[in-house]
Amino acid sequence: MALRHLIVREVKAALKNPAFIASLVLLFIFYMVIGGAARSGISQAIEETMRMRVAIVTEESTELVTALLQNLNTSTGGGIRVYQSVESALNENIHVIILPKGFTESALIPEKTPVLKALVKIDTLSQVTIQSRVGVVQSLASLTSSLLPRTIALLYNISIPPQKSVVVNTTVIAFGRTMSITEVNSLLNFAIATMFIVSFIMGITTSSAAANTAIEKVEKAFEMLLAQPIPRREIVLAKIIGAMAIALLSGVVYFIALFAMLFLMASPTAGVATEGSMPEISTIMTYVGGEALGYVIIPLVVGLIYSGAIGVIIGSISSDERIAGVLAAPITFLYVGLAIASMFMNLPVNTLTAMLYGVLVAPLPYIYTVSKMSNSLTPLVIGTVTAMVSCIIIITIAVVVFNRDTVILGVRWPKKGRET
Amino acid sequence: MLSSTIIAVEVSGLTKVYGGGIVGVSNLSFTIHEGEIYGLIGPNGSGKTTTLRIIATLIKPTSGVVRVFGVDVVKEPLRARQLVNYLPEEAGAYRDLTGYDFIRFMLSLRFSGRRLEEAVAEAIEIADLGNALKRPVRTYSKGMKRLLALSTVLASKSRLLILDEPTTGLDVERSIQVRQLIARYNREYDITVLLSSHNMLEVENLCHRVGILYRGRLVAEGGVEELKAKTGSRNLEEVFIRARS
Repeated sequence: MALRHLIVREVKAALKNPAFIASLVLLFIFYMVIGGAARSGISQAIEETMRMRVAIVTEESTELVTALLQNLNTSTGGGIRVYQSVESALNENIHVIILPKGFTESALIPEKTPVLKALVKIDTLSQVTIQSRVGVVQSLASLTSSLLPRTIALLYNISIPPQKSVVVNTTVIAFGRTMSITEVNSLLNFAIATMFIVSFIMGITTSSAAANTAIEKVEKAFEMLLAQPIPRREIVLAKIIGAMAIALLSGVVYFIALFAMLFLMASPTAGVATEGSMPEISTIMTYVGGEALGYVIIPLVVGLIYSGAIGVIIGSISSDERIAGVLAAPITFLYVGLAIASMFMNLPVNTLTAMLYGVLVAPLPYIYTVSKMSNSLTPLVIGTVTAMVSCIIIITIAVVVFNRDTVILGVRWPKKGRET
Repeated sequence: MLSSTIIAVEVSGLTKVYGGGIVGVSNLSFTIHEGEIYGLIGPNGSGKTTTLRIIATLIKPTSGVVRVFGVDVVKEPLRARQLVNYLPEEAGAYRDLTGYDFIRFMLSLRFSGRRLEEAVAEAIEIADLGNALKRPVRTYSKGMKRLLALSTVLASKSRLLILDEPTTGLDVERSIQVRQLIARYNREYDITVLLSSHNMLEVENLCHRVGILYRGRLVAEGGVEELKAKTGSRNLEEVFIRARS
């Protein structure tokens, strides 16, 4: 009986907390927006695939190639365009398939494997779009594999083993730079992993700064501190730097523990996987070099300051650590949510996108990697400057809040009792 | 004692309206001379804490002027804070610091070098917590926390001390100890004290002058004996009841 009353009290306390309700509503809205953005990105990728026009360049002109092209065109509903040169095909299309010299011979000799060459252009930040573009080429290779035996049978009245498949060697032209799909994936995986690490540590910083500021109020030492002859901006900066140090410490311990766990979990055969990760590191070193460290450190430092300041704002408008925790939770999820959304949104690489990523801070490693791949410093500079300006704006807001009544009174919900 | 002509606190037409139109104080005016102990009394919600917080530069008034030794607390809050120290209601301390570390931290925000060491030594003497100063504050009783916080405020020897209900929640022994400390610092260092209290006896014994707040307005002001005589009351409690009505 008593347990029931205790449970009811616990639930009622949470439900009657306006900050809790507000955080639930915010969380719902945030994730609806993120889901909408992701859906829009996926829809765009699907539409692009549906509108797909594949350019084909033939390096040999045989009966088989001509017949195969006709069959491919019929099967794709007229989605095939034949070009004389790779350059002209690339100018007008995203995907270019090259039927190389010797394709017919490879197709007809049982011991040989017919190989297609494919070029895929990447000029977007959306992982979904990138993967769907690569997927289109794989699908076309698969379609060619299924059409080839039929075409050969009709032309030459011979049969080839149905399991004989056509291999496609895909080369990606990412932001004007030619590389293999493995290399592109390695670079993007590096950027995404860094983005998640940054967003995770930003989350810890916000929670820690918000909680510490609110706890200080509960300890009743806060008003004494604010009455001391020190500029409020110094209190704000001290809180941000303190939260950064705590978050860095927590982040380092967390990731060491995570790696230790993965190391202990690894089976003796996991050594193969470790070796498999070496090409990724070598790719990063080849294409990015020592700057890769900067791609991690700069967003991390900027992100820590940014999220620390947000945490201080949350803590300063909260009357206790419970409300601070309730308000900080959706913000923490938001960093990760926006990082995920930025992978889905089909955004072009331009000034606005670089600014958007700069405002969000966590996706900066992504824009840095793209900047490096495209050999253009502009996105990097715009993203970094925007992130720094965002930091300054948020710190300024924190200082302004610290100079207002809100820092003492907390956010005032309507219909409260009389003040003393 | 009250001969000083220097005005320590000048409150003129002070009004504070919170969000939702809730009035904290309305058109409040009073003056405190240097070396005075001035008591603000009134029931809960009468505007005592609001007034003290405004003078301590913690919140801003909606209208009116507050000057501390001639310094406008809204226009020059940092300068005002150099002249003032504030003990909030139920003031505590950082839980994870030791009592000694808390004293040192708070005083390091005002002093450095030799002056800091002297102030720390003085605060330790005021707090009189012995070996407990080496323990984390979270192990302290309410009275010990209050003394610890008060020790840093008194040892700062600011020209104006603002004490919000300094003895609330303390036992009789601790309350007497706190009152004696306040009176001693006022007497020995000519420190002006502005305090609020629910305890009429405390105010009667400690304060030179009192202001009675009711629903955000100053309904009576003057020396304790002067108010008693004016209203024909035997004590401050009766003064308050008569002034309110």
